[in-house]
Amino acid sequence: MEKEEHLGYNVDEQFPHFLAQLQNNQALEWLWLLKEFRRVVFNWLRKKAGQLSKDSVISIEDFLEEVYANSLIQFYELFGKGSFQDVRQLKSLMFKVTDLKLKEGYRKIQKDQWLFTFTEDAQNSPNQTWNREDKHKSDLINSIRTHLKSLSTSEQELLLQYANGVELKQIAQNLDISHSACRKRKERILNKLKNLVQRKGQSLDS
Amino acid sequence: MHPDDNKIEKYLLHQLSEQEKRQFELQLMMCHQFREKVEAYKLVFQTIKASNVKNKSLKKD
Repeated sequence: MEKEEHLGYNVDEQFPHFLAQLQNNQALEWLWLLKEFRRVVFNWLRKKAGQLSKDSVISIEDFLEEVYANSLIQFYELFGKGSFQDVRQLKSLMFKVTDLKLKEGYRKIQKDQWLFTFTEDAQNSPNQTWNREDKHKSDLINSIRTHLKSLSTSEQELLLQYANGVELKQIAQNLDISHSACRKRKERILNKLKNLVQRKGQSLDS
Repeated sequence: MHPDDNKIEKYLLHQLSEQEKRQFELQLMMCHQFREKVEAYKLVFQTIKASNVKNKSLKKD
């Protein structure tokens, strides 16, 4: 059973204590704040973002979660440098950061559209400027694609269904294999792909 | 301690409970190393899904 985010005190009445706990990275206080952000900011983000175009390479749910996660990371960085008088100011900062990250997210979608759809010649797009990070991402996508092509049709189908949220039990039935075999194959292939990306990422950093 | 790989997959597949999601986001915020691992998974998933979109559009052509 995981801990509930019940603080046992009123945040508005004891804000200096709450803030100190956040500054000391106390999980309970952060989880409480994350619950508030999810309730208030994420719902606002959902309304503000609207819908993506039908041919978008990312689903609206993936997009919202990505923008929101990036906002939290940025918020956490800024939190360390700021001073706050009440919870309202914390929420206000999170709103500002999320608004900014939403705009960045739209720009990223445009780039990703090229990177994922025209990977081989994405860097030749006349309408985009590509930085080192984009080029690296393009190379990584190409590497993943090359590996995907080397898999059997059945393995490709397994991964595709899994990445689209189909339960392993159902995939096993669809492919007429045992649940255990399905899980092992999925783990083997995903581990290989994940390690490939991480290895290449590290080689870029070094 | 970081959530295991299974949790990362569930996060990206939107299969975590609200409470699990918050625990996950806490790690994501506070640990750069963990973020890199999640990003690696995310790129793999996105490429798999986008490959299918691309294949379908090529078939239509």
